[in-house]
Amino acid sequence: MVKRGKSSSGFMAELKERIIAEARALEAPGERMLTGIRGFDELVRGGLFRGATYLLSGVSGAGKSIFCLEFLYRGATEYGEPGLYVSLEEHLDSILRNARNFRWNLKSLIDQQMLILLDLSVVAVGEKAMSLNTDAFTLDGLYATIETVVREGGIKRVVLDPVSVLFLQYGNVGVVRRELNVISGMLKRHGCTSIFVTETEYGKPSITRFGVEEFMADGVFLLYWEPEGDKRSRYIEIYKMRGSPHYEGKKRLAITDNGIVILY
Amino acid sequence: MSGRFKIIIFKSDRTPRYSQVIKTVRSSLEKLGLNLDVEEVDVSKNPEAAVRSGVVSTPTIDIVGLNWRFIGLPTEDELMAILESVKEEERRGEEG
Ligand SMILES: Nc1ncnc2c1ncn2[C@@H]1O[C@H](COP(=O)(O)OP(=O)(O)OP(=O)(O)O)[C@@H](O)[C@H]1O
Ligand SMILES: [Mg+2]
Repeated sequence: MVKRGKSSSGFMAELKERIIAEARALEAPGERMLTGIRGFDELVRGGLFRGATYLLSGVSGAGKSIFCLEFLYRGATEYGEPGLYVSLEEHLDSILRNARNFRWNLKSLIDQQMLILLDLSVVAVGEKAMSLNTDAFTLDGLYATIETVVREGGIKRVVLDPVSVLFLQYGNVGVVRRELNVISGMLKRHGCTSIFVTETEYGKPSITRFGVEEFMADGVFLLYWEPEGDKRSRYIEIYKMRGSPHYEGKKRLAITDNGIVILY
Repeated sequence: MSGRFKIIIFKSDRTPRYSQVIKTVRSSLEKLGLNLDVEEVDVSKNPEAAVRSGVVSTPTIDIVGLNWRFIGLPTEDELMAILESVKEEERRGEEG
């Protein structure tokens, strides 16, 4: 049961702000921003909408983290937009290892504060022992952390990788979804374009693992890593893109030593 | 008493059942006869504290000195089980 009082009025205020932000978005034709990922901006007919939240979904190894890292890398190097990468799993090291393969100089971007990497994995916070009781909670720690960094760093692009881990850890799908909506609204108010990553399981029909995350996003992009004969191939599909036509169907995708390229 | 142990409770202006959180912490301390400092940090007003401590959700309860973190509201039994070991360590500290 929702308890009335201080806590719910805070939420109502949040909700109201979000509705106002949405209404404003309706008035103004959305401003586009280019991801810089080769071939991707054409798929969505001119880039993403500034301030929107997108879901990037796919199985493990599909290239989700590389896509996100390149989104931030291109933003920082080609469009002068500072980016924030929030790792919600212990994958920051392996993400950086990927970057070394691409010979992207992340170190200098980090030094110039054009790229901020944050490790916020719940399970390994400072190697603390911990217990989880998640009947009633908010994600206000995550909210406060992101908002602080966004405001102080003038961040324009944000990645949360993967949000699916929050659904697994906190169990309560409804609350996690509500909380991610609140965070998405905050990012919109700050003019940040965001990608939330969800990991899907092999052989599951649902587009995203919990079947609910796609409703809260302005767009959903799917990455495939599919067996074909004795090999595998990579594909991308724009499943949903609010307010814009887009390429319908799957496109081949390659990960090269200079990042991702959408092929044919 | 200001030993090496203390409790930090991270909350926000929307944290559900917060009074229950405080009550559980206070009554556990009382039942064990433990006199620890209890610090309340509102991450909505003090977001830097959330950044520094890597707090994702509220409520979060840190048992500082024991390196233990409760995410969400623990039962009194769970909390007391952990605070028992604080008490044990304090007793050992006094002896040694
Ligand atoms: N330099 C490279 N050239 C070609 N392919 C690469 C390169 N670096 C990584 N890959 C491919 O990308 C894969 C990893 O991609 P990524 O880490 O983005 O996956 P992911 O979808 O985030 O997976 P997870 O859900 O496990 O985090 C590797 O398994 C490898 O196949
Ligand atoms: Mg990944």
